[in-house]
This record gives sequence, C-alpha cells and structure tokens, in this order.
Amino acid sequence: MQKTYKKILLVILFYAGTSQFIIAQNTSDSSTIIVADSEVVNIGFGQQKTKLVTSAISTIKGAELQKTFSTNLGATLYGRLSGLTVMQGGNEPGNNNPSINARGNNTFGPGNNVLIIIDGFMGDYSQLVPEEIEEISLLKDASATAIYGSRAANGVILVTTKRGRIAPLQINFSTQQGFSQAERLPKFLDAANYASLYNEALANDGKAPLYTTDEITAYQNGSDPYFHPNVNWYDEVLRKTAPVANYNLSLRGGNTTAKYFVMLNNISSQGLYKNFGDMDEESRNSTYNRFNFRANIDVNLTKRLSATLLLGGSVEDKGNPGSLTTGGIFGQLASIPSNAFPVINPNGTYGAKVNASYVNPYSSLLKTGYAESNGRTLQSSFRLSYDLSMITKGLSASTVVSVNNFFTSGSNKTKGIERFAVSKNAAGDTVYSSKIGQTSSLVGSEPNLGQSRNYAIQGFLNYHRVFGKHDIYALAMFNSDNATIDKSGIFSGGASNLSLAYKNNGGGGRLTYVNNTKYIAEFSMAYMGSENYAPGNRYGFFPAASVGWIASNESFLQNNKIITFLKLRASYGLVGNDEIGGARFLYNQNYTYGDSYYFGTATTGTASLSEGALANPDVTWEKETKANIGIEATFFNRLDFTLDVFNQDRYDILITPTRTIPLYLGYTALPNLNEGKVNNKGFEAVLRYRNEEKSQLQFFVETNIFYARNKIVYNGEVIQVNKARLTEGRRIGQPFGLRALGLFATDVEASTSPTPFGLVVKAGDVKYQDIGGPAGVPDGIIDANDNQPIGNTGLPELTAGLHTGLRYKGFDLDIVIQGVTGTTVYLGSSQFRPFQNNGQAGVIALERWTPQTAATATFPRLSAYDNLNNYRYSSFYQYDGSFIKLRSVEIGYSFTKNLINKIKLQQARLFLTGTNLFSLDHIAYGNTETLGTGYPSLRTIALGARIQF
Amino acid sequence: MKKLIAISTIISIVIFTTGCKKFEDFLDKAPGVDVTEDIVFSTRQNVEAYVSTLYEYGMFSMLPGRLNTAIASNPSTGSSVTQIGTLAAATDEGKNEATFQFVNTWNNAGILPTNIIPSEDYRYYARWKAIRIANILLERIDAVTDPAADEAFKKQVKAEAKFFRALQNFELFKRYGGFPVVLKRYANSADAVEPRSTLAESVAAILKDCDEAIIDLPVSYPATQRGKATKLAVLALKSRTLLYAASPIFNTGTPYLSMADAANNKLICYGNADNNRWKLAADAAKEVLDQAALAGAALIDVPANRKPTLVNRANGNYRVSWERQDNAEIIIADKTMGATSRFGFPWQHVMPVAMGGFFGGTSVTLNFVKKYEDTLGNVVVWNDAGGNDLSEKYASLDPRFKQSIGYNLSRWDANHPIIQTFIGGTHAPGCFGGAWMAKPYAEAVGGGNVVASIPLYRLNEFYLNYAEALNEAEGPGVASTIPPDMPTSAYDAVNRIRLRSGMPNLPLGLSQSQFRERVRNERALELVFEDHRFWDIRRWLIAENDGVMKGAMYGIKITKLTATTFSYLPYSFGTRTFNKNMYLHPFDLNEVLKGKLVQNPGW
Repeated sequence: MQKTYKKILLVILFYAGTSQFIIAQNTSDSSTIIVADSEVVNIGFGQQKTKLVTSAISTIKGAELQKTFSTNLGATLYGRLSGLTVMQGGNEPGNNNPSINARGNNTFGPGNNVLIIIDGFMGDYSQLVPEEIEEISLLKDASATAIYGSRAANGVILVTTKRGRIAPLQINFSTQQGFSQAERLPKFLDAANYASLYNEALANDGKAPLYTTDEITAYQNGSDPYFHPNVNWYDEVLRKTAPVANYNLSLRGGNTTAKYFVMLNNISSQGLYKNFGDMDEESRNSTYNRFNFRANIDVNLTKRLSATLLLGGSVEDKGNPGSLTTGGIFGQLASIPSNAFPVINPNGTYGAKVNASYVNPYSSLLKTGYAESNGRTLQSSFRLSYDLSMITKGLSASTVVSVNNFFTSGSNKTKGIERFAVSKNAAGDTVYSSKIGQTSSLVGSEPNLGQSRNYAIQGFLNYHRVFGKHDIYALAMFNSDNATIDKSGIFSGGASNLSLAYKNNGGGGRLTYVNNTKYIAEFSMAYMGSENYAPGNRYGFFPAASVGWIASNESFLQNNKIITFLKLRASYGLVGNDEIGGARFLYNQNYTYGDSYYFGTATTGTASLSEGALANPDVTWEKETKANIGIEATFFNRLDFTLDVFNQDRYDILITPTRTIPLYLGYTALPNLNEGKVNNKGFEAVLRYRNEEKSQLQFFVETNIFYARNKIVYNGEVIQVNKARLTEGRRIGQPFGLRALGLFATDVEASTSPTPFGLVVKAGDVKYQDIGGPAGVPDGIIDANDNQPIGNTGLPELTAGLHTGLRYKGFDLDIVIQGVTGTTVYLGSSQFRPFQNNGQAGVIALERWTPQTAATATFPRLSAYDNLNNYRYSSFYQYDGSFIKLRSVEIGYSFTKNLINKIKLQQARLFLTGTNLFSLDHIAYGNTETLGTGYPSLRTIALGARIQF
Repeated sequence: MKKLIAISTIISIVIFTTGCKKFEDFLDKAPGVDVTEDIVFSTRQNVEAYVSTLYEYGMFSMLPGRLNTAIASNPSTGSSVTQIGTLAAATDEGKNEATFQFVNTWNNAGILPTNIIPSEDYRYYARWKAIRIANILLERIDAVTDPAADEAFKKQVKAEAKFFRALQNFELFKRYGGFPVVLKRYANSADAVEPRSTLAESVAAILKDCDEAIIDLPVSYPATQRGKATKLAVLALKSRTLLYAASPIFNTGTPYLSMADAANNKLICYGNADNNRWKLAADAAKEVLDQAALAGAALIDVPANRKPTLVNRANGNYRVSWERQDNAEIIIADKTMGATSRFGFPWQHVMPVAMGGFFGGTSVTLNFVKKYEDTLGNVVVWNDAGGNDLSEKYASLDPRFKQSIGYNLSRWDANHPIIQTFIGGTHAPGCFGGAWMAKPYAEAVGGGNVVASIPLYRLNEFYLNYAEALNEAEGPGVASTIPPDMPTSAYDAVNRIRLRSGMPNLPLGLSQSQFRERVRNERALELVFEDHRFWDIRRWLIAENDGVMKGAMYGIKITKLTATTFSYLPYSFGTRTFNKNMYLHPFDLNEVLKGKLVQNPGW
C-alpha cells in the first residue's frame, strides 16, 4: 500500500509536466479567464513589470484562495506558493494558524518567521479573508528582500489588498453554507476489548487478571450499562457535523478622482462540540464568528497630490463550553478508558471513578461554565503622494503613516460540578461513592488575552524614466516603526524587557536599469537600525544585486515559434534576521539580586548580587547570503516553465559557545555569541500549461515543486563522546533517539542483549541498538548515550502542489492537491500508549506482540503499568510522514449572460467547495499532520452562490 | 538633472542633520530596572552584596551541599550537578549503603574524564565562578566612588577576594596538580589562553594571594559577622597548602605516573624532592597555632570532658569540637546553607536509610575501626574468627570512637536513641561495616530546622599538620610529659591532640618513619569523616596499598547474644580497585577537548 502512495506521489510530482499539462487562470471573482501572468507583480515597496523581474518571487491571486474554506488565511496557502512550506497547526476555529517556512528552515535560532507585510507594513495576515486580497507574493531571494534588510532573511510575504479601479460600481455578493466534520478521530478499544487486553497486559506483568469472563461478556453485550459501561466519549461529546457559513459583500469602482474598494465579510464556523448551551444555562454552544471589513480609498486631491486610505479590520467572537481552548477536553477524551464509568449514573448524577485523575468530559462541558473571547484588529494606513515631475520628469514622493492594533479580551464563567462513582456492594445493592469534585456557584473573570500595536511611518522618493533604450527605475525610502508585538516565543528574559516596544529605523533604496528590454541590472539595499543592540552596533547595511537577460528579445530568438519567452536571471545579496533570540538587550551586563550567605548566627541570608549571563556587547543580527539562479521560459505561448536554484548561508546565529569557552573563565552562564552557521540549498520548479483561450473546453495545469535541505554548519554544541549525538552536520530539527531493532523474540534474547539499566526486559519488548556509553563505546546499557539521529525532520524536505482546472460552457472545476515527503512523524500521543498513565488503549494495541503473533506484531507487548523500556523515544514509533492531500475542490456553474442580464445581474454562479477531502498517507490512526490528542483536522463542504450587479 | 541632484542633496542633508541624533535616541532602550555592573560598583552596600555572593560561591565544607542552580550549574549546558554521598565512602573510612551513589565509582575504579564532575568535583563550575567574582572585585573595587567605601573597606574587600581566590586554587591544586592560574576577568574566550601552570607556579600563586590577604584581613569579627575571612583563616589555608605541597605526591622528581610527554611532569610535581618544603609547612602550621589565641581560637579541652560517657558525650571535648556551631576551635566554617531539617541537605547524605535518609548512610569499615587504640594506647586485636566481646571492645576504644561513630547500642539522636546494627536490628540494613558514620551529624539537626555551620578549618588539624611536617623535616623531637598548648616538637603536637581526648602520650623513642605511621594514624582518627582521608591517602601515595583502597574491605556481622552482649564476625563486603592514575583527578573531558588543558597521566 505504501509503495502505491509513493508511486502516485512520484507520478504527480515528476511527470506532471509532460506536454498535455496546461494553465489558465480562473478568477471566480469575475468569472472570466484571464492570462495567467499579470503584467505587473508586487515587489518590495513597489511594483515591477513581470518580465523585468530579476529576483525570485512567486505569487497567487486572492481569488484563488477563496476555493479553500477556512477561518484562517494561512490555511488557504497549502501547496499554492512555490517555496512556501505550510504546515498545519491547530484545527480549532480561531486557533488554527498554520506554520509557514519560506525555502525551508535556515536557522536553528528561535526566529524563523517569514516577514509578513500587508500593504507595506508588518502585520498579521491570519485574520484576513481571501475576498479582500488582491495578491499574495512570496519574496525569496536577496534581490527581492534586501530592501527589508534586517528582517528579510526568512523570506517575505507581501499581502496586497484590493483597491478600487476606474470602472462603474460593481457590487458582489456571495454566500457559502456548509458543514465541517472531523477528518479522522482517534479510535480506541471498546470496553470488552479494553478489559480483555488489560487482563493480557496484567498477565504480561506477572499479575492476576482484573476482569472475569462474565464481566467481559457484560461489556460486550451492553446488558449492564451502569456497572459495565462501554462509553465512546467522542460520541458523547462531539457531533458529526458542525455548520459553517460565509457571507461577503463588496463594492468596487471609481473614476479619475476617487477609487474605492469596500468589503464586509462574515465567516462563522461552529465547533464540533454538541450544543451544550441548548441543554444547560450554565454552558454555551461552541461558536466562532468573525466580521471583517475593509475600505480602501484612493483620492486624487489636486493635479499632483493624491491620498490613499487603507482601512481593514476584524472583530472575532469565540466561545466554548468549559474553557476557551479545547485541548484539555480532547486530552480527556483520549485518555478515559471506555469502561471507566458511565456518563450519567442511574440516579442522574454524573459518573466518575474513584482515585482516578479523569474528569467527566460531559459534565465538564455541560456544567462547569464557559469561556468567550472577543478580538479586535485594526490595520490602517494613510498615504499622501506628490508628483514631483515639475522638478524632473518621473519623480514622485510619498509619505505614509500606519497604525495597526490588536486586542483580545476574554470573559470566563466557571463553576465546579460534583460527580459520583457508582458500584455494587457485596449484597448487590447500588452504592455511590462520596462526591468527587465540588459543585460551586458560577464565578466570572474578564481576562486580557493579548494586545499589540504597531506604529510606523515611511517616506518614499520614486523615479522612473525612459531615455531611449535606457529604462531607469529608482526608489529611496525610509522607515521607522515601533511595535509592541509579543515575541516571548523568540526572546527570553524579564517581562519588563519583553514588554518594551521593538523599534526599527532605516532606509533603503533600489535602482533598476534596463537596457533595450534585454539586459537588466538591479541594485537594492537597506540600512537599518534596531533598538536591540548596543549604540554603535545598531545599524547594518544589507545590499543585494541581480542581473537578468531576456534572451528571447535577442534577434536570434525573436519570433521563434517554440521558445516564445526566455529569461535568465541571477541574484546575490546579504540580508538579516533580527529575531535572534536570547534575552533582549544582550549587550547589557546585568546583575541579579538574591539571598546568600548566613553570617554569624543569622537565619536569613544576606542580600547578594550576582553576575548574570555574560553580556555580548557586539551582539548583532543573524545574516544570510543568498544566491539564486533562475530561468523562466515559455514554449509555444502555452507552457511556462520556471526553475530556481538557490544556496543560502546563514551566519551570526546566536549560540552559546559551549565547545570553545573553557569553563575556567568562570561565567555563570555562557554568553550568546553570533557564531552559528547554517547552509540551506535547494530548488523550485513551476510548470504551467494552458490551452487555447478560444477553445470551448478550457483547461490548465500548474504544478510546483520545492526541495530544500539544510545543514547545521556550526552551532558550538557540547562536545559529545559519542559522535552520533552531534547535531552539527545534520539538519535542523533532526530527531535523536534510540534505534529500535524490532521486538525481542525470546526472554533469553532479551536478557542477553543490552537493555536499560535496572529493568527486566522480556520477549515482545522493544530491542534497542547499543552504540555508546560514557566512554564512547557500547557498554551493554541502553541509555541516552545510545541516542543517534533517527528519521527525518518534522519539516518536509519536499513539498509539491498541483493545481488544475477546466471550464466547459458554464461549468468549471478547480482542484488543488498538496503533497510532501522527506518528513517523519512520531506516534507519541496517548492513543499510542495503551494503559500507560492509567489511560485508554488505542486500536494500535490490537497490533501488539503476543507469543502467537510474534512473527507479525508491529507493537510491543502490553503492560498494565508504565513500561520503562518500550516507550522510550525511538525509531520504533517513527513513521514516514509523506502524504498527498486533496486540499480543495470546487465545482461551479455560471449562468449564461443572456439569462442573468434579464434580471440585471452581471454574473451569477453556484459553486460547491470541498476542503481537505482526502489524504493518502502512511498513518492508519489519524491525520499525519495532527497526530496528537487535540482538536481533529476538519473537512469542510460548502455550497455557495455569488451574484454580481 | 541638476535640479534632481540639488533636491536629493537637500533632502539628504535635512534627514541626516535632524535625523541622525534623533534616530539614535529613538533606538535607545527605555529605562528599566536592570542592575548593571556599574550600578553594582557604585555603592558600598551593593559591593557588600556582591562580596556575599563571593562567599556563597566560594565557601564549602566537608559535606556535600546542595548548591543552588546558579552556583552548581554547568554554564555550558545549564544543567546542575549535585554531589551525592560523602567522600568518606570513597576511602577506607566507610562504605555507602546505596548502590547508585557516584561515590562508589571510586571503589571500582570507574572514574572517567566524563564523570569526574558528578563523581567528586561537583564544585568545578562553582569554583571558577568564585574565582571570576574575586577577579571582578579586584578589578573594579578601586573605582568605587561611594564615600562609605573608604580605603580600609576596599583593602578588606581585596583581601577577601584574594583569600577566596587562593581557597579555590588550593582545591584545584589538590585535585589536579598544576592548574590554569586565572588572575583576571576574561571578557571572552579569545582572551583566555592560560595553559596549566606548573605545580610550583600554581602553589606560588596560592601563597602569594595568601600573603597579600593576611595583611588586610581583620583578626576577628563580632559574633554577628562570624564566618567572614580572618587572618587566621588565611594562615590555615597557607598551612594546608604547604603541607600538601611538601607531600610525597608533589615533592618529588618522579611523579606517580609520567605524563605522556615527560616534559609536562612539572605540571603534576615539583620535579625534585626538597626536604625544606616540609620545614616551610611546619613553620606555616606553627604560625596558625601561634596566632590562634589572638583570634580567640583555642583547642576545646575541658579536662573533665576528655573521656565522656555515652550519656554525657555531648560535652565531650572531641564531640564539642566538631558538633557545636561556632565553637572556639573553629577557625572558619561553611555557612552557605540556610536552615535545614534532618530530611534536607546535607543530612540526607549522612543519615542511614533506616533512619529516614534518602541518599544512604555510610557505615564504618573494620579496616578503619582497627586504627583505634584502646584507652591505654594499645593496639586492639580484632579476631579474624570473630568473638563474643564486641560490647567490651567498643567500651575499650579511644574516646573519640564513641564521639564520632554510631556503633551498636550507642545513640544517633533523640529520634533514634539506641542504634541497633546487630543482625535483625532496626539499623542493620545497609550497614556493611557494622557501625554507622555519625559525625558530622549534629544532634541538634534531629530537633528541627537548623542553620548548619560546618567547619572548614579547625585548630586541631594544625597540631597534626605541624607534627607531620616537623617529623619529616627534623624527626619526632623531644616529648614533654604534659604536652604544652604551644608545641615545639612533633611529639608534643600529637600528644596535645591525644591529651584532650584522654589518650596517653605516644611511646617514646619512635624513629622518624615509625612516628610517621603514628601521626598518619592520629590524623585518620582525629579528622575522620571530615574530607581529609580521601586527600591524605593520595598525597601520601598510600591509596594503592592493600586494605586502604585496594583489595578486600571488611566489616563485621554482629549477632545479638543477650541484651548487652554481642558477637562479631569479620567478613569482606567487597573488594576495591585503585589505579595509579586516580592519584590526581582527570580534567573533565569536555574541558580537555577544548584544547587548552593538558590531561593528567593515565586518563
């Protein structure tokens, strides 16, 4: 089966580009097929003619993203932008931001976040909706990103929102109604299986069985639901489907004086919990509801002066029974044995078990209150542009201020609920335990769940002029910003330092020269300063240069029928990453107060001051040199091909120099030095084919493939006696653990093989490879000295996307498939640890080793108690994380113009959208991307209608 | 085009003249609550707080403490090291009952360059941190402008810094031989190119710091400040340093093992034998004895309490000298630990499991018990075939035995008033030797939370240092009938120590080598369980001798005959291995691999 998947993947990835594949672009917004390549593309602080671009950029139109139904914009990007790896994060509506990496991972430091720029300013894109987005560009090489200087090394995503255009008013209204369901839920043993396997586990441990045959029969036939319950907690708490809806109204138009785009959007996605709010006034239903609005207005104030106001925002309301995040309840669902206790006791009280840590998820959701949050975002900017052509032709200036704001408040109501364990006494009477938990009255709290703001000001001088064959573009700009973004995930240290604003000052420029539309040279740079470094070290210079040659404009290729376009380009430059980690202001040598010595007969210590981690006065940015070579070609005007090959060398990554600093220097904690190095190289390829624009059946295929492999060149790690434990020379995030050699066949084999110290290991237990010991040689003991690199990293090395569609008369079809390989997943959650921590047993327990199944077993023998040998972090639980997922499918029908024009409509379209419809992968027990016990990933199917006036 | 240039120039000038300074200000860090180094060295109060950190990092005692994380952690990995078990169990003094103790690694020669730090030198990181604090103090103290920090204060701080630097360096010297002498604060690793100094240079560096510290340290402090470094503490350190330096392991032309490159042998020995080193050691010990009275230090010796019974042993001279906090015999004590109960550190390392200790108690070997004479000064014969007279034997032993060892039917504390180590007895489990190491467990600990003050230097040691060094330099000398408080011969010095515990003078007419054996024996008994034996058997190069740290080790099995009579049967509880390379510690492998330290021989 696995081989079949691989073959399919290979076929799709590598043979996708044969001649029958084609591309066109269907913008469902206007329902007209337009040429795939726009004339211009968004670049850093500007636009450029697509043909003249000499840097590596991939783009996608906002209309494309509408085909995926998600409350999070990031989740619409799977497989869509070549070079961007999108990985599923949480799945719960409102808490489902996927992680993104541009061109893989280039640093082992904590800050590998892609810089998100929304209409020129840093911001959070996750709350935007596809309907307000014109285009998203991923800037990849140094030439494209250098103007963002010290923030550019991890790549830049430019989000450009829709603007008005000179056209009559166009009103668009669309709605989608549908439902979400859990793609896959973890499966657990029913009560009868649980009991009989528990007996087996006890026998393995040398203990007497706990359940009699009669009891197991009772579990099986369900004849005694109170005293021999068989509860599927997922069924008790979750519903099969949860409704989703989306409404969008937009107005767009303008004239020579003013242009506008105004949008109002509402999206809602109800949670998978049953409607507990309908059953009890002390609970509420799980809801997620968000309003987005946008008003983008351009006004020409005078002949030379124009103004632009971009205003976008959202209001997000979220609520859940119990607590705001669902992790706790889902963790319980995955840990309570199905025979532990009934949901509700015969007397109507809630079930429980004595001396167990389980709560009753049902009563928790129904009777312990609820939590709500309300989040508000505002993204705004105001720009004044002035045409300076009276000074010299082609010169203009503009200045812009931006205010971004974000605030989330919460509202919690909590109470306790008592539960009872029910049992039968010797006489056969029903008896209840004393109450477990305490019923209390509802208590409220109104927490602040997070806030941030970002002020920025920018100024620009633009120049564009053509002198004969010479075409010159020039840009000079300055930027100053001040943001209180929560970066506690990246920077550590005192709260007082973390809450200080992040400030940045800088300027940049770009000069592009095009000769005869054949030869292009571009130089761009940034000069940026950050508050995080010592005076004198605050500013850095980040230059990049690129060249391009449009060979198809040369006489020898002009009018060539086969090669209709050919461009070669190369870029090289230096960029930085200011999310370096460590504490902020590492240049300050700090001392901390404490209590220390007990002089005389004192029983309290005297005050003391001690030196903190050593300051690094020279602390600076991470830097990266990026080299990129690209080729863009179009054949027969139909087949587009782009290939980029890159090599990126990150250096000055913050490390603690554990290998070099002798401890006799006496540091309390080693300083953080800019000494780490990582190399990352790879390639991206895009192939598109589209058929004739005039043909009846229009179709297109676009595939992109991206591969990157990084290597830690230097990280100053601790010297290891066992070289296998070194992370240097390996990939970032390489898992290290024991190598499992299978399961022991006999007790003799187990007792004569290396095993963990002090454990009795038997047949059916996991056998590990002994490769080291304290002296560097195998020592017969399995411990951390035997760790070695096992498996692949969590970040796939290869990602690919396939986007295809067709259009025939009024019908259209659009499919997006994403695949990844070169990644490993680990079965580590409670569903793969039967009976451990007094927990439930997942269906994986059925694969267990028994003397009878010794030859075929894929899971070790069961233990009723925590097994200290079998569940070590090892290759035994690593599985290939490759998958191919059908991310979205849309089938639409547009009514003919003749029909709708009668009712004054420009356009009317019905469409059915499916998101996350299926996955081909190697994991039988759940979604490869979310194997934990948390909120399951969602499959969404929605029916939509769009009309345009 | 000209216009463009002009405009650009104007804009540039405007931005750079008005902007630059403002841009720089804009990026300045907002005032916070951080204490920078300049603030530390701005007031006397802050400097005092920093000095108290020096004490916290730099002071230690015979008992393994639980250092707080900041002190004990490896600055490379952040992980903390706690020494488990007292070193007594890594000598012929005792045997730890717990198998997981790292201290056991010494007994089976399992020491490696990768485990030396958890096995013994758990203060390796703390020591270098203390040296750094000392160096920072020396570097910055003169520039403190606070008028309260007058010249006298600054001089004293410098002297304290030098004392602590010398103290740390001595601890390096006794473990590793020559070490990197770090006399300044290093800003970065490129700065730090100190290789190991030769042994002679290392000792000279310790002595230099001592000599400079002595000048500016006070003779004594008021009771509330007791525990601070005094002149006498420095003299004590100097005496110990010179004694170790004169000892066979270092005072030789041929080390116990040659370094891989024989040219490096000077890192672990002087390169010649010089008897004058013993003379220097004797003089330094004498200096401690001479200056003691001035500093208020004296041997605890109440004639009536020389031979206490079990009932009044709390007043026994010997018991008082190690048990009672801040007693007159203590020159300086470790006061790094706050109040702890018997279930806290370090007592968890001392109490047997049967009494509630977690890390295991140490039982005393028969090899060691045999060193105790009877009260008349005769050798006590322990019959290999056993005997029924255990109680009588115990009763006949040196009074110091009864004041430091928890033997059968003696007392531990109020919680365990009668110790039972006979087969089937409450405290027999794990008691391989037959009796428990009771010293240094103070009975007060059993009563609640106590701030421990565990001696680092006690005056009795310096009588023995003097006797040992003087015997080597000049021979045993002349014995007085009643040894004076200020001995002038090796005989008198040992006899003075014996006298206060009711033991008779050593027999007259001992040769230098006979006397050497007697003074070594005396030292073993008087300083038992005080972290001396482990180092003494190394500097004397006797650890490899059978019965010390090599070959079969013995305990006794005790059988109850009647309520008061017990039989004993010697038996071997195990054999021990000692390899010559264990005379000096290996440097931690990580440190050696960094390429700056030459590893000791045999590792």
